[in-house]
Amino acid sequence: MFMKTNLYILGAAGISQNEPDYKDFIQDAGLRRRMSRVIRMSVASSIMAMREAAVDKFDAIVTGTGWGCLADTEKFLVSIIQNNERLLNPSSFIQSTSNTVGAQIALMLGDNHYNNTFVHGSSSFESALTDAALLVSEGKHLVLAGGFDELTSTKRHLLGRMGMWREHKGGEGAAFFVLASEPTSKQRGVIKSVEILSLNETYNEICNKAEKLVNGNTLFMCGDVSIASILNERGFKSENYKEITGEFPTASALALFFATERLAEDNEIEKIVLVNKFIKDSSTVIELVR
Amino acid sequence: MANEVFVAGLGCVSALGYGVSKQREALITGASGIVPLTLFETIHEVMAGEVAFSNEELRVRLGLSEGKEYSRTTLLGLAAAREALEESAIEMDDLKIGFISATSVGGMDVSEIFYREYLPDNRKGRLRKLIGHDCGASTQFIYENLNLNGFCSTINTACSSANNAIMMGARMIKAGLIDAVIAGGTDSLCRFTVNGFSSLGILDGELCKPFDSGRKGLNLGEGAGYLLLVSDKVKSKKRYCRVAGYANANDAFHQTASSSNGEGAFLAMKGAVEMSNHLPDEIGYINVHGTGTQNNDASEAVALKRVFGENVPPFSSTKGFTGHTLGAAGGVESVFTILALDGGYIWPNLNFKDKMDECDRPPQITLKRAPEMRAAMTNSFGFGGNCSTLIFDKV
Repeated sequence: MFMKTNLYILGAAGISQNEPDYKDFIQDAGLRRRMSRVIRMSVASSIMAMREAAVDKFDAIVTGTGWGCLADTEKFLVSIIQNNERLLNPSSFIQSTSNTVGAQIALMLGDNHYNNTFVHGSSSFESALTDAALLVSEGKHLVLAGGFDELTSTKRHLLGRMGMWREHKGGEGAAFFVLASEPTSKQRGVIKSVEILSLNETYNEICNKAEKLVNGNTLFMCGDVSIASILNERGFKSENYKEITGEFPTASALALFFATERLAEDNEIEKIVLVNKFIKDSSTVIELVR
Repeated sequence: MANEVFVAGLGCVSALGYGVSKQREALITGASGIVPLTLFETIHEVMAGEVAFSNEELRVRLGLSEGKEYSRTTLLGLAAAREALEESAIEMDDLKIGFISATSVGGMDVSEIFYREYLPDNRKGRLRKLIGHDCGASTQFIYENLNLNGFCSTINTACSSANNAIMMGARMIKAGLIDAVIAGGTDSLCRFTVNGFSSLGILDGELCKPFDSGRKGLNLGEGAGYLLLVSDKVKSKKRYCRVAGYANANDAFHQTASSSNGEGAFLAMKGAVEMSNHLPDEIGYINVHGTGTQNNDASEAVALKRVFGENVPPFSSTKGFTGHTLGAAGGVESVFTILALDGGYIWPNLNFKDKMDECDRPPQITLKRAPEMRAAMTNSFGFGGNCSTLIFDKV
């Protein structure tokens, strides 16, 4: 699924290993305490992005998460088992649905508009971006889009048992973007296209598609060590961003935030193509220009 | 408007049976599928809309190979999605066909069995039980099984998920990104949701009574419902109707509770009606969300009044037939709404006795023929204030 678009990034933020002081973003101490870590990370990064863009009114909020709100899901599951289904506290059940983040942001902003959440492995964030691009093509102007995942200790342990950490390092994080249909003087970059490839594409096929997007001084930020090395061998500048983000389904959202920072730091780069591949899941490509 | 979107196939599995014809039969005879829960052990005395087939029976029916772990959500979803595709008899060659599925529990029915073994000893529990856990897993499995080739994604906005999946599918066809899409949702009953809704105190131990003043809560259900949506260029055996309007709005009031003025529901219905270019009185039937909880039904009733004034169209909740199928509800109920439009029926709202204060017009309580119906609407509302409305028009 290839979608051409022009999504102007007016603000972007990401949170991963270094969590901020959440008091600066979520003043209500009770609310802060009730929120699981993934909700806090997501809400705070959305606020950072909104502050940068000086926008807090949207036509839509779209989010993506591969793993969903794991901590709350597990907490409720544990309570069912340990309390033998009696006298359960509904808070973690309420917060276990994947749309909790999008809903919390809407609640915080008093936003009555379109609100949607995609939960499709490593193309969750790209599904949300596809929705954002569709919304803009339908005449909407401002969309808040984000991706988030939390690596709980149980998830880490289970993925370890599955052998994941033999080749990959764990990661987690949240990243949010204020996207606009029109350019402004202070945008961080423009998303030109989003593509979700089919599951069975080989590394070479993935790289062939990515290579077609090269235009001027292009940097490939890859979410897979093999893709990065194939593109390097073909003579392109490419890096493996999973060394920084670690592996999680929406790592491409965090990487997109890093890519916007990179554009700001390095004036030589004209375009960044993000090529992601998550274990046994579809590859995705995001095309970012100045 | 360019790029009209048509419904060319329906697929459904619910407490009313396996396949669309079983749904129609039960809706006409007024036979509820809600029974005391038997699928798994729980301390709660629960009435539920169970699909009357075990996972093994479903697997055999679907011709899936033995010895693999399939979540119930996957099995129910495959049954309904395959029916929608096959019934349409579309030629799949040269078409880009997507799959947008909704689910709120994913493979939780299997994960909770795993977790029971894992919790006391984290070396225990068979890992293959977790393959279907993520919401996207059932979608991807069904997509591969049906040999589809277009956009594939999963939506989870809790109980409004499937309406959002159908809306997303229709928008993608309109934008020319795909030619056809199977869109809807699937969810299975599991301890997680039984305990979740029980902890919120909104399960009725008896049969649910949507829109009744004495309503005490909801009955959970399970199932799957999908529409095969096509663009004008796709030939199919039948065109049931046209997707005429849709809107998603957020109540922005509370994480679970609905606002007393029904703002989200009001905006979703209003948006869908405006898009359809209908006058409100042209809507011949509304399949309301009507869960049977105090809060939802009161809020939805206020929203109905705000949209339609004194002339609220004939409406019913079919949750008394199937229970609340959560992430699948919008899919199952879109099928019911289209069956109503197609056959000229207004489905009865079961177990209704007394009008509630917020709603002057009682729901339709007996089966009514409505051959003149031109347009029908369906509502689905979810946690997080997510409200989504669809309108279908006769073609």
